[in-house]
Amino acid sequence: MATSGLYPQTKVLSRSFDVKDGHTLAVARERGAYQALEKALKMTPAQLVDEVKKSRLRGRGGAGFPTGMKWSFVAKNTGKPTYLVLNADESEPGTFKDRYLMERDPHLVLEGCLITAWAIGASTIFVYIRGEYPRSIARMEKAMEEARAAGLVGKDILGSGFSCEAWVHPGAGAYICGEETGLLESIEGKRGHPRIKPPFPAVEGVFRCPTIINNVETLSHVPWIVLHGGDAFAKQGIAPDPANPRSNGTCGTKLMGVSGQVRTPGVWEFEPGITLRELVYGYGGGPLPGRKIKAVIPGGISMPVLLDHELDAKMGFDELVKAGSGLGTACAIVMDDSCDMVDASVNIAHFFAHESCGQCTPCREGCHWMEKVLHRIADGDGQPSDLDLLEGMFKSIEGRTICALADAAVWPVRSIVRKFRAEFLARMQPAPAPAGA
Amino acid sequence: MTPPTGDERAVTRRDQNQAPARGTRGAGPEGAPPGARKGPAAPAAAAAPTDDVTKVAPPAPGATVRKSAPAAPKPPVPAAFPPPELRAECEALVARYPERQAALIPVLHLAQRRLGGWISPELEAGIAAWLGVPDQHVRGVLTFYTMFNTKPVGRHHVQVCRTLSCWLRGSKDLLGAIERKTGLRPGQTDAERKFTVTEVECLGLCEVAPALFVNDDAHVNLTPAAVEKLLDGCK
Ligand SMILES: Cc1cc2nc3c(=O)[nH]c(=O)nc-3n(C[C@H](O)[C@H](O)[C@H](O)COP(=O)(O)O)c2cc1C
Ligand code: SF4
Ligand code: FES
Repeated sequence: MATSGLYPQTKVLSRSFDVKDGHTLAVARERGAYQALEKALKMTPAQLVDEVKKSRLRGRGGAGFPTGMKWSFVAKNTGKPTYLVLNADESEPGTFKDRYLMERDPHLVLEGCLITAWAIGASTIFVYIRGEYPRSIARMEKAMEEARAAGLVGKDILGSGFSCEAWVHPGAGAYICGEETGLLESIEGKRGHPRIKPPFPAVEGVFRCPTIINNVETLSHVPWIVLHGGDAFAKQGIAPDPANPRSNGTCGTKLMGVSGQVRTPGVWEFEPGITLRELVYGYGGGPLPGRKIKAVIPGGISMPVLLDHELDAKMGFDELVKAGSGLGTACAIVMDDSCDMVDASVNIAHFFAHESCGQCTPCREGCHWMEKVLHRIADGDGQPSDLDLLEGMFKSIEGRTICALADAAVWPVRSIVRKFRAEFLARMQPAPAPAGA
Repeated sequence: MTPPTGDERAVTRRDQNQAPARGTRGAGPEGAPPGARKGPAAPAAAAAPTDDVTKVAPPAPGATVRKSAPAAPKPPVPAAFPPPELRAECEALVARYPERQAALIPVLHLAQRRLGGWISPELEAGIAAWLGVPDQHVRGVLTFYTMFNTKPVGRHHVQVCRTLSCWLRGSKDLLGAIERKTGLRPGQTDAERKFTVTEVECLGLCEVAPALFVNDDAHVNLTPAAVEKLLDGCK
C-alpha cells in the first residue's frame, strides 16, 4: 500500500494517467502536449538524434537497445520512403504498461512518434496495436483524428513544411508479431514470421524501405528529452557502471508493474533504483494473507525466475542480469507458496509452444516437446531422467533460431527446473493420492 | 491453485500450421482454434451442428473424413466483396498502404465484425479476389492469427485468459464456472450458437486478473460467482 517509507514515484510518463479526459486533445494541450513537437521541428534531425543519444535512452520493449544509436542506423538517401513503426503489440504475459499509455495519454504517445518521425525522416507512422486492445486502438485512432484536424498530423505540420501521416494497424492475436520483423511481415498482410537479420529493418524494413521500430514507452520519453535535454534525462536513474565500458545504465524514468499473487497489483513510474523487493513488497503490497513469496519473474514471462532471497537487485538492465535474470518489460509476475512450480512451468511452456510461429525446427518442435515432457512430469508419469532430457532440450533450442522467442521459452522454464528441482522429483515418486497443489 | 490438466489445451498455432488437412476447412483438429474478439452476430437463422462449418464438399456418408483431398473440393463461390455498405471503409484502408495486400488484416477485422462474426470460405475468396492476393495467402493469414474465426461463433464469445498471471489468480475456476453454466469447454459452441468458449493467451489485463472478454468487452477481477452472474446476463 502506498504509505510513507516507500521508494518515491516520479511521474513523467504517467503524469496524466489519473487526469479526467486526459486522453482528449483539449486536456492534453492544456497540460503541455505538443510543445515538444513545436520545439523539435525547429531543431535539425541530427540535433535530435544527438540529444537522444546523450540521454542514454534504452528501448523499453525488452531488449534495451540504445534508442539514439538505433535511429542513427537508418539508411539515408535511398530514394525510398522511410517508415516509423510503433511497437504496441504488448503481448508479453504480465505486461500492461503500454496499454496505460495508449488509453490514458495517447497524445503523449503520438507526440513522441511525430518527433521521432522528424528525427529519422519518416513520412508515415504505423502504430501496430495488438487486436486484443480494442480500447487502445480506439483511443489512438481518435487521437490521430483530433491531431489531424488540428494540423499536427498530415501535410505541413505546424507550418514547418514537414509532412507525416499516422495510422493504426491492428494485430489479430499473435505474440510473435511483437518481434520487430514478425511485426513488419504482419503490416505487409502476411503471417507474422520473423525475418533473418541482416538486413536490419533500419536498412530494409517494411515494404523493403528503411524502417525504425520502437516500443510505445520508449518513444513516449522523447518529448520530455526534447524539452529538458538529453543530459537531464541521463542524470536520472542508474548511471552506467564505470567499470564496464559497454554499460549504458538505466536512465530516465521507467514504468514498472506487478501482477500475480500480491495484494495490490498495478503499474507505477520510478526513477530506476528501486529494488525488485521494494516493488513487490512495497507497491505490490506483498504476498496475499497467510502466504509467502516463492518466485518472481522480474519482467514479463520471458526471463528467469528469482527466489525470495534474490529480490534485492535493483530494477535496472545490468543489475538484473547480474542477479541472473533480466529487466525485460519491467512488469513482474509473483508466485507465492500456494503455486506448484511444476504446474507453473507447464503453463509457461504451453504459452511458448502455442505462440511459436513454426519457422525454426528447434523452436517449433522443441517448445512442444518441452511442454509434453513437463506435462508428463505434472501428471506423475515422469522419471528423473526427464530432467536430463529437458536440459538437453534447453541446449538444443537456445540460440539456434531466427528470433528470440525460443530463448525466451527456455529461460523461465530452465530456471524453474533448476531452482525447484526437488518439486519436480517429488512429483515423480509414485504418490498414493493424486498430487495436489 | 488448481493444477491445470492437459485435456482442454487449446489447439496451438503449430497444430494449425501442421494440421494434416490444412486445405480443407473444418477438417482440422477437434476444437476451435483460440478465437477472435469480434463476433456479435452469428447468422440469425443458423442452428446447424456446431462442428460442421464446411460449406465446401461435405464428406459423403461413409467416406473417411480425415483423409484430405481425394476428390478435389469444389472451390467456394467468392462472395461479392466489399458489399456496398463497407466499400468506402475498405477503400480507405487500402489507400493507407503502398501495397494492397497490406490492408488484409484490417479488412479481415472489418469483415468479421460486420459480416456475421466469422470469415466463411466464400468471404475469404471474395476478399482475396478484391485485394488481388491468392486464396491460399488469405487462408494462411486467417489460420495464423487466433482472433480470426474460420467457423461460426456464438453470439457471446467468451474468451478466458489462461496465461500465468490469470492462472495464478484462479482462471481455472472461471472455466469451471463457465462449464457449469453453459456445459461448454474451451473450443466448444452450443447448438443454439449462444455461447462460444475459448481459452486465450494473456490479454494484457494481468493487474486485474483473472480476466476474460465477452466479444469486445473486458471483464476483470473475476470470481466464479461473478462469471456465473455475467453469463446469466447474456441474452
Ligand atoms: C518474441 C518477441 C516478442 C516481442 N514482443 C514485443 C512487444 O510486444 N512489444 C515490444 O515493444 N517489443 C517486443 N519485442 C521486442 C522487439 O523485437 C523490439 O526489440 C522492440 O520493439 C524494439 O523497440 P525498443 O528498442 O524501443 O525497445 C519482442 C521480441 C521478441 C523476440
Ligand atoms: S524462434 Fe520460434 S518464433 Fe522465432 S522465428 Fe523461429 S520458430 Fe518462429
Ligand atoms: S495473464 Fe491474463 S491477462 Fe495477462
